[in-house]
Amino acid sequence: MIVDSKTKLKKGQFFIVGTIMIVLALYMLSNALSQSTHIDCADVQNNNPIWTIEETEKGLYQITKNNLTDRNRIDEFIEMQKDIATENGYALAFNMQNFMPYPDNLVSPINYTITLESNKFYIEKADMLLPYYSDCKDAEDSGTCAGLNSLADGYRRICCKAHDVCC
Amino acid sequence: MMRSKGFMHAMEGVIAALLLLTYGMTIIQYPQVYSTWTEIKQKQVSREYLSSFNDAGLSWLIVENRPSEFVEISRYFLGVRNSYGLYTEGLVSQNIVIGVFSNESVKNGTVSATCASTGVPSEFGCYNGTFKGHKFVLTDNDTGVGNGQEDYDSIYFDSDNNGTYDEYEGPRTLSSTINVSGEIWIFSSIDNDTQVVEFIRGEDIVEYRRKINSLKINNRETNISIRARTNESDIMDLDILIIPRYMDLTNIKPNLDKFLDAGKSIIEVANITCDNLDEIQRDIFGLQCLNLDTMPFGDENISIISRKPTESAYEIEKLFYFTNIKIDTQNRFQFMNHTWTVPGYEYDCYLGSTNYYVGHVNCTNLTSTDPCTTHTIDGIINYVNSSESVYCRIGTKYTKNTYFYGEVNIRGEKHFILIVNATGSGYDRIYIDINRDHNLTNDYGQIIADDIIKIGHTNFTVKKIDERGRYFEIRPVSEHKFLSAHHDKLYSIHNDTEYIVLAEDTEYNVTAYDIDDMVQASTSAGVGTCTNGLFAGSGYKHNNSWAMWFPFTITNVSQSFNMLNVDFNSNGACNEPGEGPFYTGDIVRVGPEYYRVDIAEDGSKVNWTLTERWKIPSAIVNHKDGLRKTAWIRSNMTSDDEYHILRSTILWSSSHKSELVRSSKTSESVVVKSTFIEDMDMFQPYRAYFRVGG
Repeated sequence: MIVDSKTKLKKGQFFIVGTIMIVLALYMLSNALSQSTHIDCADVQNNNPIWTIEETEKGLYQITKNNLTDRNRIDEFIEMQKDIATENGYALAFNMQNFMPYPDNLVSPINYTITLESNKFYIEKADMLLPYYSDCKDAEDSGTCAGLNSLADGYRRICCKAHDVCC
Repeated sequence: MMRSKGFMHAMEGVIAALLLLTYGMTIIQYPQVYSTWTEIKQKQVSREYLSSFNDAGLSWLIVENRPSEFVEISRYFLGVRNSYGLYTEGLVSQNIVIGVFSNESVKNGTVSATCASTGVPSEFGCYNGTFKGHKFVLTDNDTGVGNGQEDYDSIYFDSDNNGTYDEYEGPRTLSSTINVSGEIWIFSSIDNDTQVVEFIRGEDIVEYRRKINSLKINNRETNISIRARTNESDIMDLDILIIPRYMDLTNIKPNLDKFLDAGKSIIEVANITCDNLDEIQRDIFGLQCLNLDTMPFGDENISIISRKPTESAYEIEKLFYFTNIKIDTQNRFQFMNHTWTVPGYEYDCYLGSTNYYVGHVNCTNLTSTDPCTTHTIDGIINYVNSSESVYCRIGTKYTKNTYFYGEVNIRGEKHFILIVNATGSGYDRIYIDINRDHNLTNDYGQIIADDIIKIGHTNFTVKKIDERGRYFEIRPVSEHKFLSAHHDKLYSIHNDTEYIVLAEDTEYNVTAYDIDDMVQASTSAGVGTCTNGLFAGSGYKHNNSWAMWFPFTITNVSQSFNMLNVDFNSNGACNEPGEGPFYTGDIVRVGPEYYRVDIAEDGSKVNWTLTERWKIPSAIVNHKDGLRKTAWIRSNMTSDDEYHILRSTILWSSSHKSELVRSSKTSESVVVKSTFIEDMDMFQPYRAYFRVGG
């Protein structure tokens, strides 16, 4: 088979262009794949936002475990957590319903929602708080204290904005 | 053909280069991926590290600052190869250095002398000087150790002018007080190049040192050190500057700005009025004088008392109510030229101000101006023929049933107290002459720790009685007059547009309403104009007239929703800034007066109740730009509660950042932060920062 030099040249050019395109495509694909996992979900993956929410809940429990007469305590604590979230690049929001001072809070739990949001994710955690009174430590079977410390579970929703996926 | 071949080779070369580059980039990216993984791992460890303090109930270690424990815990989590640091923000600083301005100072030169001629030791030479007619010698003492450097640091001061330096006359280190013929001076500074010594007049400083003590909050100790300064001194080594009286600050304004811009604070304690207010007082402290006639109407444009956690006043109030007022006692039993009735106990007697023990007395319901000479006593006095008084007090031993006495001054009212060792095992009871009838047997009786007592208008909890009788501590538990919503107030301002009016109108008409008086104003027919109602203001002078009439209108939206608008400037419009709408329960300012408005459900009338009149606040705190903290306190600083406001303000204005522990390495790239809560004495959320590096 006789292949003239022109055809050889064309084949060579095709090979070169094709190889360059494949290499570039692979390179871009590799970058895109690693970026989407690294940039979009890294914050959630390393659990910092979830940890922030857990720490917020721990603090709320600590504030309310003995009494609940001062709303300012919750606000003061939440302000600090908001500052920390902001420094980490998130926005923390806290909403509270049914706040009542002692002793009304014995029978009326506080419903709260914590949200943590960045431009990449959105996390929402809802739950409720009941103060734990020292009077109830030894009176678990009494009518007043029964069930006070068995909190119903709320819900948690985590959304990855880039992929529009929530779980 | 040859050219094409060459071109092909060139292109192959390019492809080879690209492939090598791609491979190379993979190599270059590798450390980056590794770094991210390391970072995530370090963050995870840091979170576990911080959580462990909460989960194990060990956060008190952070508050109390125990570096050695942190080193161990940090190494456990991180290993020895990582660098780390633990920092906090929100806890009161553990060391606060305060400078108090004095307006009198003397700089005295010295001349070189041999130490042998002075009779005092020194690592290097000695320098002689005189101050107020007394000789002194400057020495390089280095607290007796010596550091190999010629740095003069102490003086010996011939207080009794007997020509020699006695044991009690030195060495005095910097900031020591010297009593010179009844005047108190502070040995303030030494110029090590010229050996010039500076003395600063220190009566104020001594009083501040006595009243502003070191303290503990949530078991965290804060040491407060108070130094003397003049307006010519270098102040950058201080954390807080106190200006204890009105001073013209014009010449030192640049220095004060530099000081504030460095994150430090200034507190002014001065009874400033509109007569001595200047521009700097507004710039630095946010004070302003306005003719009360021009005070704003309607909406507030100043920060009225706010107890929101974001307000500076919130923290000061918290510190006020959750830290103790310490009342020092004197270990001498005197009756201060009054006749007193005290519970009967036994106490020891000494001669004059000496430690010469002359006996003991045992008095039962003693009434006396001098317990040892004029009343029947059961005891032995060994020394009676003296022109000196005999005082009965405790000496170096602590025997049963002896007294310490002191004075508690709440809002200018002094109350006599006795601390009693009632059980013989340590001082544990106090008596306070609450009704100030000079009789300690008809008040509360024996007060013990945790009792609540009322002094003046405020309830206090007795928090501690020193078992050696040297002091006791009380804490306000109910609304205090200085911080009350109905009396003097503490305001806080947070930006340049806010200010506090520093004037107080005392010219009210005799027909003025009393506080809590209610006046009803009805509306006539017609809705939507500003003239369907008229409110007659109280009797303060407005536009040179005692009469004040303000047209208003009510918009009846629904049965329970009404809006009130008031034409405060009488220009026919009632929707201008500050003119409403107001709703039932709102406090509306009418010049210097505050009215609560209650609008009838049918919108036919408004009840205006005078709730208070503008008063110059007791304190104003100013926190601009999140950095500059200043405060002005209107006070003569005589009462223990006035000093307590000052102490609370000092704690608020001090730096709230501290470093607990840090390894020797410096690169700390990963930062994890969390909020902790301490609530032993005072609810105190704070942030902990844990930084880790490779």
